[in-house]
Amino acid sequence: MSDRDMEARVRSWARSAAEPIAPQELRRQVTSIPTTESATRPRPWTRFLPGLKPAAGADGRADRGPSHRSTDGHMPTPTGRTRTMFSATKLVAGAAILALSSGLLLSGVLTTSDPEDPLPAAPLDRTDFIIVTGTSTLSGGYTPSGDDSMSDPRVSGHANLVNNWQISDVDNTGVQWGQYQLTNDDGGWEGEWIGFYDSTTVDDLVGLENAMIWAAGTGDYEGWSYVANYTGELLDLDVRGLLYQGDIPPTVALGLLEADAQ
Amino acid sequence: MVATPIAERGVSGSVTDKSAAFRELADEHLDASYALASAILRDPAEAQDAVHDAFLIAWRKWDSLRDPNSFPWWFRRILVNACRDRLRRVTRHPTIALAAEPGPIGGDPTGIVHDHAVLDRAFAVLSADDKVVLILRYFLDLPADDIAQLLDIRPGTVGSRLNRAQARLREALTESDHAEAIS
Repeated sequence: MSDRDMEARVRSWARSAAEPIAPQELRRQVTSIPTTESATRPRPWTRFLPGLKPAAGADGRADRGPSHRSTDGHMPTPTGRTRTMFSATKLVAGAAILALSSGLLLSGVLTTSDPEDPLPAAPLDRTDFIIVTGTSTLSGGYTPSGDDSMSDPRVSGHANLVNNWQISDVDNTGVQWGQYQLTNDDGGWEGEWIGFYDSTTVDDLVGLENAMIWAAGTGDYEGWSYVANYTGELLDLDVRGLLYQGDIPPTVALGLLEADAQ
Repeated sequence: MVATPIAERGVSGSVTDKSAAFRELADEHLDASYALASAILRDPAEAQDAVHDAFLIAWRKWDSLRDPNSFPWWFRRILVNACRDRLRRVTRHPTIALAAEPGPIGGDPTGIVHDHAVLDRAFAVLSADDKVVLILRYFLDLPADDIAQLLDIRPGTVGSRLNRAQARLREALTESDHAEAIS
């Protein structure tokens, strides 16, 4: 095979996968970036929602995002203004409940000492868990991904998320959730994540804007739990988490993280 | 008075001007960007995500763009980096198709479909860096110096990556031709 023949075949192949026309939905998302990016200060996770806050259409309705991938049942469909179960007030109430449960669980774990108690409730001390900190370059839309660089190599690696969301048209608040996976050469972490979205209130709901992941170790990390908070700006997120050998309720882990921060 | 093109106003103008300039340039370069991303990533969904990420980064770095005429080159660097990052992720998490695609209707008299399948498989095992260099060379027809500038590497490195990638593809094609000749 001559060089010329080979080059011709490779050139033909290289061009075969090139899509000449970008999908209209992508065009809409890209040209609306200045609108969606300028509205508020950078917020964690909110830009995982491409096309979330475009200008209202001619009928006054806000298009709630892409429809070409909405067949998986998770994406909201642009059927007009719908009231959902989510609102700023309910999110605040949710935060209070979460904090209360976290406190109760934490106090239960730290103080229970009844010898008759069938559940092991030995107090956790600082040596039982490892606090890890670092940064993440997570970004993306439906399947965000990025690299986490952490103080502990066990939780450094490449992170992948599946991003589902339910956002209210009424007050533009909602919740995001999905699967979480982080892998490196020695193993990985698989679990879930959840984050709250609010485009209207910046200060009132600080804390709820954080995304939390909780995952179980695989490979060399089998038997370990990893719980972490992602905060800050997309592509440059701050990560603060906790490694624990064994199972640990995420709320307890978050309580320990908060206690450690103080 | 001659009106200043909106793209030029966007570099030093108001937020409105910047937004308008960004939209104009994004709209103008979207098709070419999507074509390049899909050629590198060989997956339309991955290409859409890469292009979206690249434009998002471009908007955030908009103030660093001094000359609107340099947008195509400036943005291509961002896009190629976004594609390379995605290739690295795909390399780490390879996916396997559940079923082979059906063959072309009416057979493959010119052998192009077979050729492409062979090259797809050979391409899949290349490193992300080698893949990017190969596509920039054969899809965009860029000379080694331009590729080096785009990727911020030495021309010699471009040459070695290109040689390695070409050797792998040539080997795959030769093996395929040989097998076909025997059968």
